[in-house]
Amino acid sequence: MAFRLLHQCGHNASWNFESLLNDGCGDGLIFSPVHQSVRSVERTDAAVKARSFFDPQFYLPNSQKRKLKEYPFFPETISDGFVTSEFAALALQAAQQCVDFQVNQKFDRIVVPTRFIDQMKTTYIDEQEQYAVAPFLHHIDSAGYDHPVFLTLALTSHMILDKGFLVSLLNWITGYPNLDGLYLIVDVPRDTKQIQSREVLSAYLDALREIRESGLAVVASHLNTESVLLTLVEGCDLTFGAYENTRIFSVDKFVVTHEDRRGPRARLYVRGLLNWIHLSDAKLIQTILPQLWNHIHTPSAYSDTAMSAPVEPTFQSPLLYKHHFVAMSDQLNELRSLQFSERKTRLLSWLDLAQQAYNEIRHAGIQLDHHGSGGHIHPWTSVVNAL
Amino acid sequence: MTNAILRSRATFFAIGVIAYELISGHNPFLGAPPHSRETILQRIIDHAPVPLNDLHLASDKFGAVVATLLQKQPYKRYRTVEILQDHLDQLRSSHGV
Repeated sequence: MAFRLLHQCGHNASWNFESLLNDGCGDGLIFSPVHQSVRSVERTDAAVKARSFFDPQFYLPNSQKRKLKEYPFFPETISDGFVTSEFAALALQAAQQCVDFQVNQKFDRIVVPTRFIDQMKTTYIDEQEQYAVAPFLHHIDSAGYDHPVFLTLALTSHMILDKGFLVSLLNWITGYPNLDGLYLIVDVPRDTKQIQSREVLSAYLDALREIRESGLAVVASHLNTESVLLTLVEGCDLTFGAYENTRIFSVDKFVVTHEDRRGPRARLYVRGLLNWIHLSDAKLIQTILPQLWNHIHTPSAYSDTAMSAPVEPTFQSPLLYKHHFVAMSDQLNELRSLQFSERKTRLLSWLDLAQQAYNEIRHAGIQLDHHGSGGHIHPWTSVVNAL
Repeated sequence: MTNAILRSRATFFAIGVIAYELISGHNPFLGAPPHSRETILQRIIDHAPVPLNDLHLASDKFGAVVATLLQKQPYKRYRTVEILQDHLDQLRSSHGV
């Protein structure tokens, strides 16, 4: 099965670059203008850009985020204050500049942005077409660019659960013969870091399968560890990222806030649990259940340093994120080489082992927090079994 | 949705209807008479024509091509002429034509 694994860049994108180039994790990068200045994109090595793409991030077109506004084609910038009703007149100009930027920077494809509209309104498709899709495709066509063209689509979980709405989206997207693929985001509101809803995960897998069967390529973006499940959609490209806002989509990251930024508590990705747990809990398991720990944790130079450090690494340290890249790419590479039925069997065995490990941890009296406990294992197993 | 998009997806459906009729000798959506505009439209919405291969009038692969063209939902039909052409070329070469 051929799928690509791409870094979803965010703050400190240099960690993603280093992971790709030095550790061989992943196959390319997705550039994020809300986090990366024009200058840093321009200065990135051409060989890296040739296997990467740029997400123009028009999700919130009136975003006041400083780096995003640096880009002359960003709706808020080009309009000098974005107003929906007035943007149609500037849409072609924005499209021309944005497409030319991507081509001049020699990215591997052209990405057509759309807005994040969280309502299933009847004008959804018309709005997306008028403000971005039609002007972008028009410019790509008239300029004679022959790059692969991908459309961004940021949906809510309600949209993929509503079969009628999803079908209308699929009919719309597949109607563009010059479109090669989709860059798909699904915003799944939840109170745990892992998606635990069986219904949402099944609908997500179904939507991806329908897209692939229509002949379009697809990149499933902003993924947390559910990416292991998405390997069950043949040829669906996957993503991983450092900070949580690269692994869980929320339009909040395009909103300027003046709140103090609190660093999250350090968490370590533990392969055998298919989850991130507090670093302090990881050390506890290592001490109390050393045999189990050796079984569920595949160490890397990064995790060794983080575990042995006298002080927990903060979110400004790359250690735990780079460990995640190593562990996740190893895990996905293992699945990449398998046929569908073997992949499914392998996933079920991982889920079974994770459940056993969680049971052992619980019996040993170690209390994992709400996010780090194994609430995702049972629903994930059901989803895989249903395929 | 633009008219151009609607037209291209409808064209694939029309090609499917013509192919089906050429091979089977009857229109896939024309039921028993009387043939009013309403009954024909209703059959286009409701009726799933028997695949040509099930009628032993075409190979499984060619039957699947026509069935894809006749899908009710446009997104299940071929997305581009090139994809359809590619499928037909593969069929032709597998038959040594």
